[in-house]
This record gives sequence, C-alpha cells and structure tokens, in this order.
Amino acid sequence: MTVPPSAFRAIWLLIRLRLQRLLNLSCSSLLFRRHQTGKSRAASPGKRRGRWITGVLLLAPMLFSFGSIARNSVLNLHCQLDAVAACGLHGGMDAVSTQLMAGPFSAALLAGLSFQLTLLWLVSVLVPLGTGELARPDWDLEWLVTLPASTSTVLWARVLERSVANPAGLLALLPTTAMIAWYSGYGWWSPLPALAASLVLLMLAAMLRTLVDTGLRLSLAPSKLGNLQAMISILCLLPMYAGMSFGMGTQGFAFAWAAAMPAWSGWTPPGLAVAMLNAQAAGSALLAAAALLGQAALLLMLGMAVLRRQLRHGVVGSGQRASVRKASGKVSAQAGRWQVGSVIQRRELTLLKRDRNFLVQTMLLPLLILGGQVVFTGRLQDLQGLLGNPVLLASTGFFLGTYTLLMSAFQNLHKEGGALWLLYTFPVGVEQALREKAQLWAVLAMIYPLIMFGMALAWMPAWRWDMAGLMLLALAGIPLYAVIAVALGVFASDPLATEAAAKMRSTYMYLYMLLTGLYIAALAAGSLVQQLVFVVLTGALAVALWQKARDEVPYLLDPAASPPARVSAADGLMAAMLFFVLQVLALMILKEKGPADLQDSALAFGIAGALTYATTRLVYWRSKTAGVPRIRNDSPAWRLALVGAALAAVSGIGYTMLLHVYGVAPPASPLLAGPWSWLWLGALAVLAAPLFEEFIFRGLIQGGLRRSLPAWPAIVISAAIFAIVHPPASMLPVFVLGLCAGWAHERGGSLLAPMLVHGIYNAVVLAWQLVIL
Amino acid sequence: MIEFQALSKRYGSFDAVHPLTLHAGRGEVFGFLGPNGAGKTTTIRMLMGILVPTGGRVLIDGLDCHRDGAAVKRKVGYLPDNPIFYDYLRGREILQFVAEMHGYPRAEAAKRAARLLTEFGLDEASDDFAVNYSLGMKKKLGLACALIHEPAVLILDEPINGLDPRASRDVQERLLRIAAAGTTIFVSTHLLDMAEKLCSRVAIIHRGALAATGSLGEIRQQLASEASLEDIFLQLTDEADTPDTAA
Repeated sequence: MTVPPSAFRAIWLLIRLRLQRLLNLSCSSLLFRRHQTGKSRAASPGKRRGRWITGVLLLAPMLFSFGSIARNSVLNLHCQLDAVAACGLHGGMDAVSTQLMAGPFSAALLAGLSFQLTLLWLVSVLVPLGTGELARPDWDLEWLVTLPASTSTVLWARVLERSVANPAGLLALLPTTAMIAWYSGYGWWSPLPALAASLVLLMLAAMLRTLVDTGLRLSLAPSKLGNLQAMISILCLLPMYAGMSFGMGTQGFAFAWAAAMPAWSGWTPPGLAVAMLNAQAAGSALLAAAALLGQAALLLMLGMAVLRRQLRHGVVGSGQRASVRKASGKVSAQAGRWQVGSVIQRRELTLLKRDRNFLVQTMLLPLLILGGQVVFTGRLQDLQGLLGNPVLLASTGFFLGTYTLLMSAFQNLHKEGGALWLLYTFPVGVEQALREKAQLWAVLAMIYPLIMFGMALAWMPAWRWDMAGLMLLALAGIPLYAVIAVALGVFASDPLATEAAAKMRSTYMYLYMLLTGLYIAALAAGSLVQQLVFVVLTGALAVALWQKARDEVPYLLDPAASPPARVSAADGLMAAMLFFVLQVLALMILKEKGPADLQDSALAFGIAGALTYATTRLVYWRSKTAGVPRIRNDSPAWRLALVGAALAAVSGIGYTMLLHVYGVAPPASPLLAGPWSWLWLGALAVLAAPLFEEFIFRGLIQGGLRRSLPAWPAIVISAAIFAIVHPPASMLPVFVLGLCAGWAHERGGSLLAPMLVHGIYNAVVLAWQLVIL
Repeated sequence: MIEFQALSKRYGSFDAVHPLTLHAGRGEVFGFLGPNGAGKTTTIRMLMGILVPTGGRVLIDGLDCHRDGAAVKRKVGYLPDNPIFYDYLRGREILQFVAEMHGYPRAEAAKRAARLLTEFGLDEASDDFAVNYSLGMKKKLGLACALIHEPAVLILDEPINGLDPRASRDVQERLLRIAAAGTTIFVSTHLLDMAEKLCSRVAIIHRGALAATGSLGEIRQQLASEASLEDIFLQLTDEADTPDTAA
C-alpha cells in the first residue's frame, strides 16, 4: 500500500507539473525542429543549455519594450493627472521623474495607477482564457479529480498553479508594478516588492479565471466554448490597448477615465497594491500589505466556496451532445437552394460562418489591430493623412488583405487537421481542393482593401492617377499572395505531428511575412519599372512555389517518402538568382581599380554563366533529377531558329530605329572605344549569352512553368522574367526576343533552336548598331 | 480487382511492409489479418495513396494506386481505422459534402445522404456536429461516407471496431449483401470470428511479411491442421517464430 501525498505535497506536485509543461512548451516553440522520420526517434538530451540563450535573446527585447511602456505610463499619468508644467518642456522629463521620486504620489496619481493596474489585471485574467484552453475538447479537471487527493486540494492546487504559471499575466503586471516601486524609491530592489504585489493580484486573477472557465465548461457545449473563447480573445484587446495607451502618448481618452477614478478605488486590491508599493514608511507599507493580503484571502475563500458549489454535482462537462441538437429541422430545409462556388468553397464558407474563432482571426483581427492602434493612441486625425499618402494607403490595404491570408489561406492544411484523410479519398485530387481554397480566400481577402480604397476614392478631393495605380497594384498582389500563402502553408504544416506546437513550422510564417514586406517595399518603390519587375517576380515566385507544393501534396501524410527530384520553375528562379549574384561578385573582383570596362563585364558574364551552368548540371546529375532540358534532339532546329530570329531581329531593329527617330537613343557607350571591344562584345553576345541564358530562362524557367501552365502563359512569364533582368531601355525588344525563343523552344523541344534564335538576334542587332554608328 | 505486386514500404531503416504480392478477385471479401503493428494500416494507406510505396505497386482495376490516384478513388470507398471529421460540420453535411465531391448534384447528394443516415440509424444524430459523435457513430458515419458513391471496391480498416453487437451484425450482413452484388471488399481486422464468418479468403501478415494466404480450408491444408482460425493465427504470429516461414 502506498500512502497518498499530503495536501501541500500534492499542490506542489501539481504546480511543478504545470511549470514543467510551460517550460517544455516554451522550449519546443523556440527551438527549430527537425522533421523526424521512421524509427529514429531517440531523444537528444544534453542540448538544454543552448535553448536558454534563444529564450533570453527573445525575452530581453520584450521585457525592455514592456518596461519602457510601463515607465512612460507612470510618467504620462503623472503629467496628465497632476498637471505638471515641466512635462511640456523639451527634455524636461528627467526633472519630472526626479521630482516624482522625491515625495509620495498624489491622490489622483494613486487612483490613476490603480486604474491602470486594474486594466492590466483584467488582461491577466482574459489572455489565458482567450488563448485556447477553453476550446480544447478535453477538460483536464476531469483527469485531476481522479488523482488520490481531496477535491479541495485539487482546486487549491489549480488556483495556485494558475497564479504561478501565467506568463502573460506576469508580463502584463510585473513591468508596471516594478516601475511604481522604482518611482517610490525602491531602486534596484524594485522587482522584489513588485513581484510580491503581482503574485497576490495574479492569485485573484487565477481564481476569477477558474470560476469563469469552470462555470462555462459546466454549462456550454464544446463548440460554443470555442466561439466564446474567440469573443474573449477579442475582448481582452480592450483592456490591453487601454492599458498600453497610457504609455504610448498623452492623447488617448483613457486618461479621462483615469482622472475620474473615485477615492474608494484605493481600497480595491490593485489600489492597495499601489498604496503598498508607494508607502513612505515601513508601518504604512505593512498596513497596506496586510489589508491587501486579508482582502485577497477573503476573496479567495469566497471564490473557493463558489467553485465548490459549481462542482457540487461532480466534474462533468455539460451538453456533450444535447445542446447542439436544438438546431435540427432548419438544416435540412436549406439543401437545394442557390449555390456559390465549388463544393470545397461552400464547405469552407460554412466552417467560417460557424467557427467564430476562425471568423474572428481572419476577418475581425486585422481590423481590430488597425482600429485599436488608431483609436486608443488618439491618432484619429491620422486617417485624414492617409488620403494624402497614396503609398501608405495602398500598403495598409495590402497589409489588411495579406494578414487575412496569413490566418486563412496559409493555415488551410492546418485547418483540415485530422480530417485531411477525407480529401485523399476523393477523385478530384488534393491540389484541386487547395486551388479552390486559394481562389476563395483571394476573393475574401480583397474585401477590406476594396472597401478601404473605395472610401478613399470617394473622399478624395480630386482624382489622382498615381493613387489609383498603386491601389490596383496592391489589389493585384492579393491573389498572388493567396497562391503563395497556400503553397507556403503546405510546407509549413506537418499533419503528422502530434503536438499542437509542431503542426505549424513558424519559419514559413516568417518567410511569408518577409515576402509580404517585399511587396510593400515594391509599392513604395516609386518607379513604374521597379514595380513592374516586382509584380513579374512575385507572379513567377507564386507559380514556382505552387509547383513545389503540388509535388509535395501526395507525400504529405507519408512520414518517410519525399517527392522525386524534377526540374521545376523554382530551380530556374534560383539559377537566375545565382547567375546574377555571381556576375556581381565576379565584376567586383575583376574591376578592382577604376570603373569596369566592357572586357571585364563580358568576362564576369562568362564566368558567372559557366559557373551557374556547371553547378546546376552537377546538382541535377547528383540528384538524378528528371526532366533536365536537353540541348539537342532529333528534330531539325534550323528552320524554327531562322523564323524566330527573323521575327525577333525585325522587332529589335524596328525598336532601335524608333528610338533614333524620336531622338531618345542612348548615347553610344564610351566602353566601345577600344579596338578589341567589338570582338569581346561579339563573343559575349553570340556565344556565351545564348548558351547560359537560354538554359536558365527557356530550359529551366519555361520548362518548369510548362509543367503546370499551358504553353503561352509559360512562354510569356519566362519572357517577362527574361526582360526584367535586362536594362529598362532594352526590356521591350528583349521581351519580344524571349517570346520568339520561347516559341522556338516549345515547338522544337530542345534548347538548340532558342539558342540559335538568341545568337542570331544578338549578331544582327550588333551588326546593325555597327552600321549605324 | 486488387493486385499487389511486390508492394513494400520502409520507414528509414525499418521495413514496415516486406514485398507483398497478393490478389483479390471481383466480389470477394478478402480478410487482411495480423496482430497490432503488423503493417495492416500501412498497406491500406498505400492502397489509398495516402502513403507512397517504397517499392513495387498496387493496382485496383488495372490502375496504379499511386500514379493514377484520382481515377482509382472514383471506384474506391475507404474507411480509416479512426475516422476524424471536421469540427463544426454536422453528420448530414459531411455525408452530403462527400457525395458532392464524388460528383453528384446537390439534390441527389442530399437524398443519398438522408438514405444512408437512416440505414445506419444515425437519423437522430444527423444534425449534431460530428466531432461530438461516439467512436461507434463515427465509424458508422465513416462507413456511410465510404458507401455513398456505390464503389466497386471497398477498403475497410477495422470496420466493426467500436460498434455495438447489433450494429456490428448489421454491418457484417450489409457487407455480405454488397459483396454478393459484385463489390470487392478488402477488410483489415484482428477480430477473427468476424473474419471467419465474412471472408472468402484471408491473408495473415506478421511483422510486415505475408505468413499465409488462401481460403481458410487452404490454409488448414498448408499447415496440415484442423485447428480454428484463432489457433492458426496464434501459431503463425507467435513472437518466438521468425517471419521467414512464408516470406
């Protein structure tokens, strides 16, 4: 027979368990996780030490920014509530803070600070309620009561464990209490009394949270709990923004509330905590502490009595089935009405309609983030400023759309969850389902930007073409990012993972945000050409990522196998990137002194091209990649090459002639002065360029795109990418050349024809320039 | 109808399924027996294109289950060992969704869904969210999903696990009825009395390798014993016995 542990030991064990869980959770989310396969599941101990560094690195800036907000709030409250004149002066803050530390806080400031502490205390109740535990179908209390300890021990353990293991609450309360202690003269000892005060408040928060979640669990069905949790997660933004607004500026309307706090607020637990921290003598500090502890003990006892009463019929979650059934009858009547979209899209919309959590995260949160920022910091007038700043307006609209996509399209495999197997039983294929979802979310993500842009256009004093153009650019980006989000979501999600934290790889989320940032940079780029370049590159990237994701889909539920290597558009984009990076590097090494001459650039081009070509070939050979473009095949290339080259050359010469006629031809390059220059240029243009560029742009990019696109779109996109990597003045003829070479490649099937087109075109254009000059 | 051609699966260095060659004919109820962890579910997932074979292939009606996955699924109904459904969707809606994904127009899909729900006794629960169903109800709903497009081949992973005795009897009778109508049924189980009643032929696998195959009579002949299927199963899957006996 074993002896059950004493009540204190049981409580300690449960608290330790919870802290252990918290530690595991924070460690696993901070650490990059390798994809484990098959039997090799041996744990790898002894790596613990490294984790703390990452944790500290992430925590330090967070604590610093929270600390600085807390510091600013105390000072701002002091300035506003005590009407301090020195605050307005430039650099007067130092004087203000020394003056604040000199004596006790005024009654108004004490009331204001207790108001802020109350708001933060609400945050420490609502954030844990709003982040998940409620929505989980299994209730851990049902398990806890089966342990050999009395119910009251279990309940006390639960409240205490939740007081200690409440990182969000601690992060909300500790900086502010520490700052109050600092300005009350505790100096570097401030964290200690601050921690004590915060812990007492956190115990009360834990009690309230336990009462609320127990009550809800007992009376609501799981699906309703999920919806309620979504509401709470929104609700907690209110005290959070209000509490933070004190630290952000002096305009927010929360200051008026702080000023209106009645005197009795000093006797509430937050008020007593402030009084304790600001007490000038040990006696009054002890008195306030005793009052605080007494009140807390009383409230905890009271809460425990209510909790016992809640659980008087046992720990049984209510309404497992009964309360969901009420809606019957209405449902079947809906069948056969009007239909929107495909079957998958209709299902997605139904889920969106019912799952409030999902609805809130996708459609409401972006608005609230934006709105909260504007309202609580008192910058309502900034909305007017948006009209005068097209770039800011367009990027705000784009941000709203892509944020929605991050929460929806990016998550879409993750959202399928355990039911993903169903998609594998249908005769339409998973890729089709993903495509339909991308379409749906592209449309839904456009709603806010469209409303925003529509209102801006309506309110604008006069029509502005530049603004309309930026808006179009922002809107064009959203469908592209819907595709990118779905594709990255495929790589990001691990449907086989068992832990919630591992189901989503956050690296890809950062990658998505980074790419979003790039497009916003493009919106701000200013020049039309640069913006065009970005749109073309983003489009190509979207197709390339989609292709990779599509290859991945049949292997998603397989823990061991991965798709065989095949040439894809992504390879082409990477090769193109490598080509240009190498070219820049080679040029940097070659030129050393003075500006680069033609010889150097030709040599750099040749070296970069040869290296890229060799590397790509080597990688393909090593990985036994299928579909590597071939230079020759059986079909004769000459006729295709001549037709293509003739078309391209005519358009190229026509273009240069037009430029001459309108007098915008660039002046003859001074680099062409030397006698050998023409030979270098010839070798570069007729031999090196066709070989390397055709391999990358026609072979890899067009060939890769061709796997998932019809012939002409693949030709046009690869020609567009080919054009944008050339100087702006020659983009148009190069685009036509790309089209002709692409056509020759499509018809001939090998690289010889497009290489000949490219070589002949370059030779003809060079000769023409020689003649003209 | 179902043709395994040296199908194998390897996880890292672990052989989950050794090269497996089997054949199940049209209208046959083929039992796939083996202890826990023998590779039954892995094999079935390869049939459904959820897992990718390491070697060999498996054909259904002449189509490769991995390469021609979409075409195969037109003909196949599948019930996983632990069917998980979407949150926030009712049983009726899930069934209707599956029917629509198989290409039925909406009204027809609703009609089929209603009929199957009645047949499986899920009428009362059809307007509850499927996540709230008990295991048995989820199995029934999964079976309804597998049957809704009247497939030529049924692939069932532990179909009567979690069902009550009456439901289990109903399901078995139903399976015999549709097999008599020409449907091929490939069913994995470790419930031997069910296999004995239901299956025209069985294969017993142990540690990923085929230990015996044939009708019960044939297996008895091979082993020269008159024992029950249970005794044969225990004899063939004895842990002390190496799996090389039949591989």
